[in-house]
Amino acid sequence: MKSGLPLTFLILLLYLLPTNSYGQAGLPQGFIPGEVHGNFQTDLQYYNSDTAIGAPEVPEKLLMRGFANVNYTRGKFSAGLRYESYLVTLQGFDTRYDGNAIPYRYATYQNEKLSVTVGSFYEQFGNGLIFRAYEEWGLGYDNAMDGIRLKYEPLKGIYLKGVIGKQRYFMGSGVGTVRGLDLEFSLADMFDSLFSKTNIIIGGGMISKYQSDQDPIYKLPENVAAFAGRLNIISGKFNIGAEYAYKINDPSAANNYIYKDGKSFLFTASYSTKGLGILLTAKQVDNMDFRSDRTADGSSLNINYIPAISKVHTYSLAAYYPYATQPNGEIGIQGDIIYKIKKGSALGGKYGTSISVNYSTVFSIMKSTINDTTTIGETGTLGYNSGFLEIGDTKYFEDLNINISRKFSKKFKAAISFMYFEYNKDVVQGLSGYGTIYGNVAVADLTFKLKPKNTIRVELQNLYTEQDDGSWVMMLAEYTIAPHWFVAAFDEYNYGNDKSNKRFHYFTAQAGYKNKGNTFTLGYGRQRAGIFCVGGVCRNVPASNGVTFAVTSSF
Amino acid sequence: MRTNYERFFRTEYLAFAALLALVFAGCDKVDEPYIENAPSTVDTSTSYTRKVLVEDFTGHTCGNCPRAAETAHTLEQLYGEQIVVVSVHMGFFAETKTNPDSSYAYDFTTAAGVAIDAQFAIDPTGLPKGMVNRKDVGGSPLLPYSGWGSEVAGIVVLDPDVKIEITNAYDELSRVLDITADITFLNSMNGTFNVVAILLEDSIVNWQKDYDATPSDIENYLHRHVLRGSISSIWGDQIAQGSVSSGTTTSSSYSMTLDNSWVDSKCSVVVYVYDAGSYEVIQAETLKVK
Repeated sequence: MKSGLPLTFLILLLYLLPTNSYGQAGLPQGFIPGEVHGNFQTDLQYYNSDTAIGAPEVPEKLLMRGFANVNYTRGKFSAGLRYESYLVTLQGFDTRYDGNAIPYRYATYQNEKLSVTVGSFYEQFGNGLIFRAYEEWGLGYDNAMDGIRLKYEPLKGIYLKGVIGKQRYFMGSGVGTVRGLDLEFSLADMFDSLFSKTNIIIGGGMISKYQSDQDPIYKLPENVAAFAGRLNIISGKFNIGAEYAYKINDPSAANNYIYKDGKSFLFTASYSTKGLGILLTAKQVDNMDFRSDRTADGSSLNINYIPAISKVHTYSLAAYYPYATQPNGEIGIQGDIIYKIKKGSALGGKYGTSISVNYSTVFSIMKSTINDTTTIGETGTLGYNSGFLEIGDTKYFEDLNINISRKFSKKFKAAISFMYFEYNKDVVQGLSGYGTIYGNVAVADLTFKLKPKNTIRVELQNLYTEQDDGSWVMMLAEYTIAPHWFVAAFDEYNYGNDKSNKRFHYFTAQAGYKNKGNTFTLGYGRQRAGIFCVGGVCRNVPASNGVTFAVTSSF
Repeated sequence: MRTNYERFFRTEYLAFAALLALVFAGCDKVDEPYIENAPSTVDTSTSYTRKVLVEDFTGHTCGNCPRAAETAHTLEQLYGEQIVVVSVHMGFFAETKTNPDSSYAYDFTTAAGVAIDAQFAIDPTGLPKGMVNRKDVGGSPLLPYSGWGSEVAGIVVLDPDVKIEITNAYDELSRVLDITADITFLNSMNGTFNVVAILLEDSIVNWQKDYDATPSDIENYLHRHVLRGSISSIWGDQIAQGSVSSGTTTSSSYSMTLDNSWVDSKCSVVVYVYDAGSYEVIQAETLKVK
């Protein structure tokens, strides 16, 4: 990352800042004071070696990753930057996040109907099927664009976005260039009288990437475009949306250099009324791994994002086998119902009861050979033939879960959850030889209010499976003194491991203090090891044993 | 309101259509055949050429690593003697196992491999990975295997900066190998330059995990170009510093005793010269032990 630009921004900020600190009396009329906001986070871990669980000795002992966002806003102008520091980054994160840098800096202004951003930005077209630039600090993922973005609203209800730039690649940027346009019409905003009760939003976008071809093996397209169209109908309690995306030939490491086109379809329908919410989702993905560098591996330089349609679990053992979207091909559905039984009814009790049921399943797509001499997915060919909404015969994932929560009294509430899942470990984790894991999870989550500010919460979880590492039990106790303090301790015990010498306890204790936007968390514990394969590379995240310390702060 | 929309569609539609056309232009459809014709290889026996070091970082339990080895093999077929492939087993996936069928018990790791992993922090980025001449590409020399070809293609066409000549004396009884690397600078250069000599053994048959194979544990996998160790020190010896004029020559001699378990007829010496400031390799050369 070039250092010249961030420095310019810093000087600009310093120049603008003093105007904010002058006394109000000395300011001319109509003066808009500027504001500075930001947030900060740092995660530190001190590592002990622990030969039982395989935690290695870490030469540095203490590792750290942290960032600070500083944003300045004054009227229609804003500018900001993010400083990041990895000295050295924590185990489990890619070591190419290294050192100190300002990888993110931008300036934006709004002039009439036009908004201009130069520098770094995050953006999304529609559901993200062809374009989404975003970051997830917790996962060490960041594909921010660095370039120019224009947003234009020529008339009320017509939104035009144009982007061009390069994507972030760890501490630098990728080789490819990404450019795109998106147009959206919101009919209710355009024609107030005709669409007073129903809004129809029609949108469409396109993204094209450029990367030169110097490859000695394949004849490669240097410009690869993807197109998407979407429709959203919002009427009263109903919201129905569909998006279809198409990508031309995009041979890459991710699809084993096949020249087939890519397709993706997403459908969502929801109904919500007081006490009841229903959501249905269907999705097909076919050869839609789309990156600005065709040689990229892992989870780097993705241009698009295929939304996951399985429930994101918060209980740790329910989240033990999380599904990950397979951009090379999958087809799936999800249904979700939330129902609140009325307070005061026989079933609902004095304080009400809520029930939620969620089901999702994902399969392979049907693929057939293009001719007698080419195997499915053979490199340097069209790859395979596939149809629209044709289900293949390999199940990747299934999850049926029910959650019932009820407040029994002012001092006691409880939630219980049951879950059945099937998880194709080979497909989801990019491995081989593990097969499918079938399991059940039961969770009881009990909250007791001892005094108005003192709460104790207990979680009991059990994951039963005969495959993989076998069954687990987890127990958690958490004591909160509102609004400043909490202490928690939990233990995950692999009691069902086939190998009796691997039935480890993973114990963690944490204490935290919160005050006026600052949070300090101190912990000690063991973390499990794991092998993760994404995009053709496998990484081992070693087990760890140590003290963690985190600070988050915002201003 | 209507007049506003009419005006919009008259005046701004054209500009928008022009933008659309620009994006549509960014769309290249490729027709069969999709495979390139082989590049015209240079006859390395008559003219001295640039030779590229391709390091393949791998491990016997890395199930995607055979794809990288296949790519290295394809590039060898395309570029012949212009590329020198070295397979370096390293990190978590190179650890030995104590399985009942004695799979993955063989130790492919070397002190040199551990040092390279530590220097470039390779294992935590995931395997397979590689480096082409250790050249920095977008902030890191680490490249996914499918990016190796483009890098090699960009380098082999350059004129060589140095010439490396290896001479061997190998005693089959004592298994002592003496080598001399004579280096001639063909261009005037600036920097600090080191020479490194390593030993490879080719065609070792042992276990390898391959996620594309069924079953995924292959007992008789052919491990190519395996790094056995350093003949010089791991980071080599300085041969020139500062402003080095064209025609400068240096000579470095090393000795090593081959391990009894290594098949000497499958062993070869690799010598490379690199810029000690950037770690970038400027020339590589290889010669069979016998």
